[in-house]
Amino acid sequence: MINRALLPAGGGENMLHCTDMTVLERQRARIKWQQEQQQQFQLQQQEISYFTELADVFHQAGVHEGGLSEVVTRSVKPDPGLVDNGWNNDHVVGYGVGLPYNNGLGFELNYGAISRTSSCPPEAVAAVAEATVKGSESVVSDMISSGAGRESSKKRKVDKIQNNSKVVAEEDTRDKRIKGCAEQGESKITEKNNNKNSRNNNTNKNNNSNKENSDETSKDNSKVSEVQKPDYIHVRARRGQATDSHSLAERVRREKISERMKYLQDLVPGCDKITGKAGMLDEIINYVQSLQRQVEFLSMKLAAANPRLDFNVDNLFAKEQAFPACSINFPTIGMSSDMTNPAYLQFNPAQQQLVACCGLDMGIDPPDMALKRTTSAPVSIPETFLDSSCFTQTHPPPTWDADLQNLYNVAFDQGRQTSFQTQPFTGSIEASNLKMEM
Amino acid sequence: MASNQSNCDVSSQQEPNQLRKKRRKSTQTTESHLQNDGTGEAKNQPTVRWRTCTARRIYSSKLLEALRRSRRTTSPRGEKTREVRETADRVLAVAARGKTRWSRAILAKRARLLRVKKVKKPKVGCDRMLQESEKRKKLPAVERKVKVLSRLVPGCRKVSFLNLLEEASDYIAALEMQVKVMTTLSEILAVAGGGAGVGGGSSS
Repeated sequence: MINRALLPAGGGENMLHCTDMTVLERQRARIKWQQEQQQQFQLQQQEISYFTELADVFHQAGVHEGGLSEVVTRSVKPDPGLVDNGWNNDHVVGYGVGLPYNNGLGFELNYGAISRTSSCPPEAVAAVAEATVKGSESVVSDMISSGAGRESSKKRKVDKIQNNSKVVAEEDTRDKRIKGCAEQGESKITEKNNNKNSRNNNTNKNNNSNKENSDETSKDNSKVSEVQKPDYIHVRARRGQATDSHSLAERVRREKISERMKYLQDLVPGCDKITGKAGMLDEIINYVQSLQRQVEFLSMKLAAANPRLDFNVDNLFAKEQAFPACSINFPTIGMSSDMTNPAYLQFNPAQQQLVACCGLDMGIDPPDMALKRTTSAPVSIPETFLDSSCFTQTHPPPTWDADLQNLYNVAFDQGRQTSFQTQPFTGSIEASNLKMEM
Repeated sequence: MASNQSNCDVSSQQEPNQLRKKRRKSTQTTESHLQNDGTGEAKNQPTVRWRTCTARRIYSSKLLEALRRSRRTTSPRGEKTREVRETADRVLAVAARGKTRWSRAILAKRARLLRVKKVKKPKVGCDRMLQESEKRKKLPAVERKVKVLSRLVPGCRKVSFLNLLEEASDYIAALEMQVKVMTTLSEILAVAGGGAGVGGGSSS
């Protein structure tokens, strides 16, 4: 059903069934295009800039260059009269981007859009369609659907003004552009798909590059001779937009979102392999919840330790005076010191847990029970405490606060500052932290 | 100590002014996000802001001060945890210097609480929401998660997705720093306090 709708008025060929086209028909179309190209070259120079890109892509794809430009120019000719050929223009533009890109959903929708369009030169369609590589069908449909937007021509005129200077330079270095077009073709296709299927939530990185390039080119036209690729992206993107302001803004927004998601990916540990907004959001939510739970747990710890806050705080901040006070405390602990000091001194992961749990127990339980607690701490540690203590054992980097470092030195009666070992559980957090700090 | 207190007060007074300018600030941050792709971003990035030693030092010292003050001023019977957590959050928001929405929301919450007592309104539309959620479960999957995230980050319920992501990244970085500082602090306090307590108990 879709195929019938796609059938151009004059021709019997169907774009979908490009393979039905014979070589002869292709050659015929090519010759025709070549003739027309020379005629109209001077008339519409601006369009040619577009179409030469496409020609280059075709060249790369193995299609005859002249044919494409023929199609392009012919369809460009009745530019003011967009009714019939606006579709042609855009769809021809799309041809040049014939690269294996296939968005299934967009494919369907675009085919539906095609039926709206009016006639098109059948040979041109068929020849060009056949000439392109596999994904070209989707491309064509994309182009056609986008061509349905009449405003594209207006946008093109704006671009023409900007690209006048670029045309000459662009024609000179075609070979370079071939590959660039190939890549940009993909990006353009993805853009067009996104424009038509905004609900697909395609966050392609190509979009980012497109927007950046268009930003560059819009700001500085003099960069043409040096940077060919951005011009192409800029031109194509603009041209493909049906309703320009909306689609442009949409693209900007999408790029911003993807940029921020990438940043969040670096921030949240373990998100390297997750692609897509939903998965990333899940991870982010889990991470924020876990962090908030940690804060809650730590505040509970601190609240329990608060009765000693005044005394300790004075010790903490009066560095030199605190040293003897802290060191004196340890020998007087007695049994608990035997447990805790080795735990602190040896800094094994298991004992680090012990440290935390001992600290927790000591903090929460009355001091007179602390002796008993420390001995029984390894045995009676509840699971939740273990997990959360694992989580909260973060490695204080060497560049920690100076006073805290001194406190560590004093409290543990050691000269070691970075003796804490990282838990394997928090290894991912550490890695991410280190990565960011670099 | 007095200087610390004055710092905290001054920064909290600056919040309402910055609340008025918040829209401009959010746009500015987004603009700077786009324009300063290389140089300016370095300073704006949450990781840079929250992972410097100075930030940690500032936060830890302010937290200690706030905890000490709260211990002296109030001592609620059963809600020590909540009080400590709120203090910590407030100090974190102050450390953010009002550039982010969540920090301003945390401080505004506290200010509002002091002025007017919070009255929790029962959710009227709850039943309807439940029914709707039963009917459509997976349609706006991303939207649902966005809503959950917006509830997690303070002050970001009606914020656009874009700004929400930015706020979330800053909030995550700030939370990480908060966790680190509080961990260290609690360990030191617990060890030292436990030692002092036990020493005092055993000696007496």
